[in-house]
Parts: sequence; C-alpha cells; structure tokens
Amino acid sequence: MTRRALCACVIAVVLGAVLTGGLLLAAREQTEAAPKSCKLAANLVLTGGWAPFGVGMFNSFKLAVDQATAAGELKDIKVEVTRGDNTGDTAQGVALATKAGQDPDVVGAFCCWASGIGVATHSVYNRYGLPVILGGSNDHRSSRPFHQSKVVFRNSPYDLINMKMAAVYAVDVAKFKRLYLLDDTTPFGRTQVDEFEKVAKQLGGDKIILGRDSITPNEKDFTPILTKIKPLNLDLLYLGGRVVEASLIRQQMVKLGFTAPLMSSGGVFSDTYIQVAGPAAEGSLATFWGLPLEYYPEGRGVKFDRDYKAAGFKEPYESFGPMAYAAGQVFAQAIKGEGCDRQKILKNLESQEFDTVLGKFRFDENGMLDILNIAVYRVEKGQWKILYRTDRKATKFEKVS
Amino acid sequence: MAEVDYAAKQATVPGRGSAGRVTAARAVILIGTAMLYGLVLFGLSLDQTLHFVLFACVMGAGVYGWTRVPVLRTRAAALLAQEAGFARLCVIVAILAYPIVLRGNPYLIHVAFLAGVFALMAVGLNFTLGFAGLLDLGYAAYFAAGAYTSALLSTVWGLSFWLTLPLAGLVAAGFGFVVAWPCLRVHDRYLALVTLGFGAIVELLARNLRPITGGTDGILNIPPPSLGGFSFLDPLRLGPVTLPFQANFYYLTVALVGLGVVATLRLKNSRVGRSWEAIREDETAAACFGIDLIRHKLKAFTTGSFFAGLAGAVFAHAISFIHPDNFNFPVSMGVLCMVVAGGMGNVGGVITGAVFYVFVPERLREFEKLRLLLFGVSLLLLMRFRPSGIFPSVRRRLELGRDPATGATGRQPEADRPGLAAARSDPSG
Amino acid sequence: MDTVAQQIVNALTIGSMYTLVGIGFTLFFGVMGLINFAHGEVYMLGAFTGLVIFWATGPSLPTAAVVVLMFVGAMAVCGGLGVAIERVAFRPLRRMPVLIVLITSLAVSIIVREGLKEFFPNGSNPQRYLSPFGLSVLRIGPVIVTYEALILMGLTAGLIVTLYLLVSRTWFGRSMRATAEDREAAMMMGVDVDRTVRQAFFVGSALGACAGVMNGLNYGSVKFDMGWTASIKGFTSAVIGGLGNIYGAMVGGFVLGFLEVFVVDLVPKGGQYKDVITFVVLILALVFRPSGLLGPAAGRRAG
Repeated sequence: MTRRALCACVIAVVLGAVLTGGLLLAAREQTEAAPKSCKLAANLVLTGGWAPFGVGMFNSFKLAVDQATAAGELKDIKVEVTRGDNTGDTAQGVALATKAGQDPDVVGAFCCWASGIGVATHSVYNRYGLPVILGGSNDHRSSRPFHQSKVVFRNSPYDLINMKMAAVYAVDVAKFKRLYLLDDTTPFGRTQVDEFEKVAKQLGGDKIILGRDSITPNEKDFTPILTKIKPLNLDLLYLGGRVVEASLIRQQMVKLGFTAPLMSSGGVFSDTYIQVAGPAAEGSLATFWGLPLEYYPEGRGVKFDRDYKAAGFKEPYESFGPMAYAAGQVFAQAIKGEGCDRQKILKNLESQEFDTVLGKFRFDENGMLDILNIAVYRVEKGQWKILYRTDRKATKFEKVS
Repeated sequence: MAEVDYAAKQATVPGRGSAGRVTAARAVILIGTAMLYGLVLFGLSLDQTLHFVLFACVMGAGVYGWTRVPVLRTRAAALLAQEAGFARLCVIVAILAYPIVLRGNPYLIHVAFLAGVFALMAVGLNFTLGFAGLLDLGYAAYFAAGAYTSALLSTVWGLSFWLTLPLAGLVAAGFGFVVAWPCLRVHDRYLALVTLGFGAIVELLARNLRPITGGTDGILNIPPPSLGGFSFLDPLRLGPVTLPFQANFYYLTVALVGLGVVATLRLKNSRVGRSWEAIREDETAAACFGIDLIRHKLKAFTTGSFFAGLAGAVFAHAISFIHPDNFNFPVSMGVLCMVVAGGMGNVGGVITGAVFYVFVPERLREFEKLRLLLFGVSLLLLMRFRPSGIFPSVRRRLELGRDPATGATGRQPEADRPGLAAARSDPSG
Repeated sequence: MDTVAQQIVNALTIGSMYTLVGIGFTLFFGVMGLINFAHGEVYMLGAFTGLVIFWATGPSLPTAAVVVLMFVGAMAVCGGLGVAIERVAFRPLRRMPVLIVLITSLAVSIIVREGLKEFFPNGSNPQRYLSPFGLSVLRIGPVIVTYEALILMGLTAGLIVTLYLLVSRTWFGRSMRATAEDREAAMMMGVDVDRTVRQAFFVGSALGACAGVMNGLNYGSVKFDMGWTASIKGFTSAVIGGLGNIYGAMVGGFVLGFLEVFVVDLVPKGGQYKDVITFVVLILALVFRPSGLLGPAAGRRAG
C-alpha cells in the first residue's frame, strides 16, 4: 500500500471512530437530564387553515406554564413547553405523539385540535402512559368512555353534549319549527350536524327537520343550494362548518332574501366571521363551550386577557385560548405536588381539584372537566353577545340579561 | 454503468489484483460506509434545527467539494465497481442495523418507517414514470386503493394482514389497469390530466362513500399484523437486544422496498424494461420496432400501482387509522417530486428522494411555517439547475444535464441556432 | 318555476367565473403547451393586489375610480409578475420535457401561495373584500341578481370579445397562433418567439388577475388558498371545452356551471356529490373526447 493510501486509511479510521462514538452518544437520549426538569409536549395545528386557533392555544398554554414558573409555584422544577405542529395531518400527529411518549423528560401532553388526530393518538399516549389533555378535538370518539385510554382528559365538552344543548336551544328555547341542516363533510361538521339532528328530532319530532345536505369546504358560491332551499320558508339554517364557508353562506343568504338566521357552533364563533360577513352577520347564532371572559369567576378571565396581551404575542388567543390556559394551569398544579413523574401526575389529574381561569373543577371518571359552560351567542351590532348559558352540568339554559 | 466501467479501467492499476488489494478496498468501503452512517445518524440526532441546518450546510459543502475533485470520484467509482457486491452488503447491513442502533429513539424509527412507505411508492412510480415515461399525476389513488382494501378486508372480514397485503396490491394494480386502459392512445399531456382527474375522483369517492370507506370519518382500529402469537405492536426481541415495536414495521417496509428494488433491477435489463425505455424515448419509433405499446403501457401502470397498493396496506396497518386526507393531491405530487428530484429511472435515487422528503421536514420543524415555502424554493432550484435529479441514471443525466466526460449539455441552447430546422423541438409538441 | 329562473341566473354567474379562470389556462396550454399550475396563484395574487390597492386608495378616491384602479392595477402588476415568472422559471426550461416544466410550475405555485400566506398580514385568514354595492341586489321579478354578478357577466363577455379580436386581428394574435401551431416554423417565418411567449404570459396573467379581483368583488372575501380551488374548476372548464380554444373555455365554463347548479338542485344530497360528478364528467370528457367539445386551436391534436 502506498503511503498516501495508508494515511487515508488512518484518517478514515480515526474519523470513523470519532463519529461512531459521537453517534452512540447522541443516539442515547438525554440520560443525564437535570433531575428536576421536565417537558410538556404540545401537539397542535400550528400551520394551515386552523392555525389561528392552534397558535392561540399554544401561546395560552405556554403562558400559563411560564407564569406558574415565574411565580415560583413550581419551586425548583423547570418545565419547558415544546412546540409540535401536526399541521392537521394524522400521520404527523401520531409521529409527534410517539416522539413525546418515548422521551422520558416529557411528563404531559396537550393535543390535538383536530378530532381525527385525537382519535389516532390516544392509543399512542396510552401506550407510553403519558397523560394528555385534549384541546379542541370535539369528536367524542377521541375521549373516554368511547375508548379506554386512561391517560386522556378533556378541558371542554365534546360534541354530543354541545350539540345536544344547541338543539335544546333551537327547539325548546327559541322554538324554531322549520329547520334545515348543512354540513361541510368534514368529520367536525358532520358529527355536529348528526348529533344536532338526532336531538332536534327527539325534542320536536321528525317533521322539524325539513332536509339536510352538504357543502364542500373551499367552495365559494352557495347560491345553488340556497336557492334550492329558499322555498321551504325556514326558521333556521344550521351549519356544521367553519368561518370561511359560514361567512360566505350568510352573505349569500341575505342577498337572496332569506329571513331566517344562520346558526353554527365553535368553528364559527370568531371575530373573523363578523369581519368577513360584514353587516350580513347580524342575527347569526352560535353555541360555544366557553363564556365571555367577564363571566369567569373572580375576574380571572379578564386577568387572562390582560396577561396575554402583556406577554406580547403576535397572534390573538382566539376562542380556545382560555381553555388552553386552563390546561396549562392544570399541568402546573399537577406537577407542583409531585415533580416530574408521569404516574404521579396522572394520579393527580384523576383526583386533584384544580383552580383555573375557568373556575375550580375536577376531572370526572371519564376525564371530562366538571364545569360544562355552554353558551348561546348572537351577533348584535357587529359583536357576539351572549344570550343564554347553561348550568354547570349543562342540563338547561338560563337567560343572561 | 458504462461511465463507471470506463473510469474504473482508468483507475485500476493493471495486473495487481492481489488479495491484499481486495482487502484494502473492502476495508475502505467498510470504513467509508461506517463514516457516512455515523454522519447520517449524527445528523438525525441533532434536535436543534439550527444545528441541523449547519450540519446540512457542511455536508452540502463536502458533497460539492467531492464532485469537484475528479480524482476522488473516479477512485470511488473504481472502488465501487470492483467491490460492488461488498458495497451493497455494507449498505444492506447499515439499513438493517438502523433500528438496533437507534433503539432508544422509537420516534426516529417511526419516521424511517414513514420514509420507507414513501420509498415503496417512489419505487412503484419509478416503473410507470421513470421507466416508461408515463405521466401519472394521481398516484395517490392506488395508495388509497391498497390502504382501504387492506383496512376493509381486515376490519370487516377479519382477514389476516398477510392475506390482505397482496390483495391490496392486486386491487391497486386493478385500479391502475382501469385508469390506463382508456388512456392508451392519448398524448402524454392528456394522460396527465386523466390521471389527475382520476386521483381526484378516488379521493372524493373515499370522502363520500360513507358506507364503504367511512367517509370523512375514515376507518379506525385497523389491526396490526401478527405472526403466530407475535403482534407487531409488541417489542421485537433480537437476542440480547430489545427493539421498540416500531422496528417491526420498519423491517416489514424494508423488506417490501427490497422486493421492489429487486423487481426494478430485474425488469430494467429485461425485455420488458428495455421496451419501456424505448417507449419513453419515442413512442412512434418504439411502435415501429414492433413493441406492443398497449401491453407494455398497461404493464407499467399496473406494476407501478401494485407497489402503491402494498404501501397503502402497510401504512393502514401501522397507523391503524386512515382518512381521505391521507390520499390527496399533495401526496401524489410528493411522490412525483421524489421520483423526479431523486433521479428518474434510478431506483437508488428515488429511494433517496423519498428519504429526504420525509426526514428533512421532520428535522426542520422549527421552520414549520416556512416549510412548504422552502420546499417550493428547493424544488424550483433543483429543476432549474439539476433537472436530472439528485442521483440520476446515467442516461437521464446525459439527456438533461451535463455530459460527465466533456461537460457539454445534451441539449443545444435555442439561442445558438435561430431558425435552424435541425434544432430539436420541444418533445411535448 | 321561480327557482329554476334563479338557478339559471346562478349558473350564468358561476359559469362566467369559471370561464374567466379557464381562459387563462387555455391560453397557456394552447400557446406554450404547458399545464401551468402557477396560474391559479397569479389569480389569487391579483385578488390580493386589488385588495391592497383598495386599502391604499379607498378612502381618498371615488368608488368607481377605486374599482377601475383595482382591476387595472392588479392586471398590470400580475402581468408583470407573469413575465418575471416566465423569465425565471420557464424560459431556462424551454427544452425540457413536460414533466420538468410541470413540476416547476408546481414549485412556483407553492412559493407564491406560501409566500403570501406568510408575509401578508393575517395571511392565513380570509380577507374582506368590500364591494361598492354592499348587500343591495337587483330584483327582476322573482329573480335576484347581484350587481356584482352583472359586472362579472359583462366582463366575461367583454373579455371573450376582446380576446377574439386580439387573437384574430392583431399581429400579436397571429404570432401566438403561429407559435402554438409550430414553433420552429414560426421562428423561420420571422416571429420573435421569445417575445410572443413573454407577451402571452403577460396577457394570461393579467387575465388571471382580473378574474381574481372579480371573484373578490363578487363573493366578498379572498383567501390565500383560493387559487387552488379556482384552478381545478377553471382548468376543468378549459378541458371540457377544448384546451387551447378560447371559446372552448367559455363553453366549458358554462357547461360546468350549469352542470353543478342543476346537480345541486335536482339530485338529492346534490350538494355532497357535486364535485364527484364534476370530476366524472371531466374524466369522461378526457377519455371520449380529449380534444374537448370544440376541439383545440389548430395544430394541437390530442392523440
């Protein structure tokens, strides 16, 4: 062998050894983590169509945890909130859940916004014994008791409850008699309308629903379907969908001469709806599982609003901000007692009473929080105004003056 | 391979093929593979995006420097030509060892699994597009066909995965046949449109046929495969080491991709493969040479879609939940980009394309908002400066890029020859 | 009966919109043989340019002037952008196979769309487009027509006529047709192919921008991903009518519009199946009559 070749070999061997050593070190996960430091893994929709909600939730969640740390509530435990963008895609959601689950420093997760991801990831989190609080994830199939993953908790009611109350309002309280239903073919929209239809028929008889159809997301012109249903003389058009289509439908309804209002739920309950629909938005109805900030006990809601603005986030917290903030507070309080241990935090989630922006609550045996604030809002003079709210167990409505 | 042989002849000292030389060559290959492997794994384990970007830049500079020093390239080519079998063995060992080395990190194994699924699709599309030159813009349709077939057969009829896997492939191949058949006489641009439309229809049908596909709910609780009593969700015990369950899916996918690679290599040098390449180059001429266009195009389509079906089945059983959003147009375009950017016709290139496509966005999570934008920019740059792909087959590079020996482009720039009838026209005309 | 009349008006409106977008696609395909994915994004950019112009001039100028400025401004800016895209992305690839060009146009479309989403303030949300007519509409008997729809239909008709004149009576039109038919022969005949292609890109992009502004005015909102949905519909229209044929885009647009409206109206759960039926029609059209209802412009055969 020539000398050059020999040198090359030696260099190669040395480099190889160094790199192999490096890779072995790197491949071993952080074993020497400071004992009192843990992470909370977010798995939210941070880009794409629903991004504004996801980003608002992430910011709020993080704010709660950071505030708890700053206030010294966690003593010497450092809690870091890691960012995870599932872009609304199930495969990515599962990948993020796996990543969080396998990382021994991660002691809690906040997932998923998209219901489909909630459905796909609960078994992953359960497998790793990682407690997860669901944000958004309306679909009941992502929650207990519709599955058996004991690690899943919710900080907002799921669709069956929300839609039941929406139907109760429409049929019993507002006494609408001629209803038509539209869904946007997404699981979110469709399950909403399915449940609404079921309860509405139970309460008001089959005849109350004059018909049902679907629209496609990203469609712009709804005049054909609206023209088709106009002769039915509706009292109410219920839409399971999101802001983009709802605002257009509302405008076109008004232009075509509909007198009935449009009703929808959380997907539409946003200022963007009012902005885009403009004056046509007047009279629109929406149910939402959250109260105006002033209604939360002891001015906590207002304080949250102030704190969020003071923190200087670029994006608004949107309608789910307070719930996300509550989730952060829950984790902070669960960690406070026990430190960075998944099992212990899980136990705390099951048994502890939490003191959050939404009020004091516990999680019931199915992981659902026991304050179910569902409210009916209407657009009046360009703002969402609360009309009715439910009691804590969401059994009936009380008018709000 | 011609270029490599030529270079090999130049670099090998004639008459010194002794055993010592062989061992030295093998040692170099082994160490080289280990180094590269180490580098790759190191890059993967970099959690901070900034570190990863720095790392990528250094690697990029290294690769660029490598290509600029012809001596290194020819030597390497010579070495690989000599010990091609051994080199392949090293690569195979490296691939098989991945979960063992990374057994502490199931997440990275999961990502590698996903890359494998896409690689399988890329290998499939390589038949249709890379070999036969047929523009299929709706490839996700076959992926969907395979996934739904396998999912339905196992959830509704309880069939074992090992049965549903080949069935999924066959059903997908059937879809490919159905798509291809009407389009055979049609010009390639129209073929692109039809396949595009077909891909869209399949996605829409998946979304709307609730009784069959579950509509936008998708299909849930798809059971994992099992062998005897061993379920794929159990950790894998290999002697003294225990691997997380994700490794099971990883090895399954690797096996299937391996199958695809073997099929590719055999078909490439077979009569069928050569007919495909002839069709790709010039249909009319191929027909004049007696090649049965219809049969070969059908074969290309069905082979390509078969692999997509396999990929779909594996995906469904690994994620346990499928949804029409998993089979939309961006997926089709993604696979298309993998094949084109990786190097059409070169199976190693398209697999690399798939690996990049899955791993790079995972590592660049911090740039999540700019992810797609960066993807678009890199795609544009790649098409502009290296349209033959990252690892093109030699023929492809000669077609589209610079001749490795002389540095001249295979295509004459239009401006040099104004108005001359000899200038080759745009082949799409 | 009233419903039918109203649906006809709806179909005319929708059809006009599809036609406007389809013309652009047909132009690109006919002259340059490209399936230009980026066209949908230029359309979107046109809408947003109009929005910016509105924000800038709205308060200070009278309504009519603002609207005109929106159109003209958007067309000028996007026309220029189209030329720039041609220079940067498509010119160097003139000799490449269709596939490479296709992917390049895809890359451009991704860049434009994501770029806008990122860098436009509040880019991921829908933006309000204020129409001078607000919610007021024209009532003709039982039928309701929005003023914006009238403008849309008028604009479409006007553009079709203008394009016809442009293509058949001007030097530019003749150059385009010659280039479309046979590039080498055109070069031999003294046509400056480079310039013709540039001009075609300008015209096509300007058309797209015009369609975008019109869409914004008609529907009252624009969003960064509006290009993609519009592309599919516009492209389908162009294909149904015959790629490369300007009248084809019109015929295709109205065929598609009427088809959609009446599927929704007459088929139970029509709203849900509308898109599936559209695509099936597209496939059938492509399979049984790939050159479209009216056939391509001279020279481009399908088989």
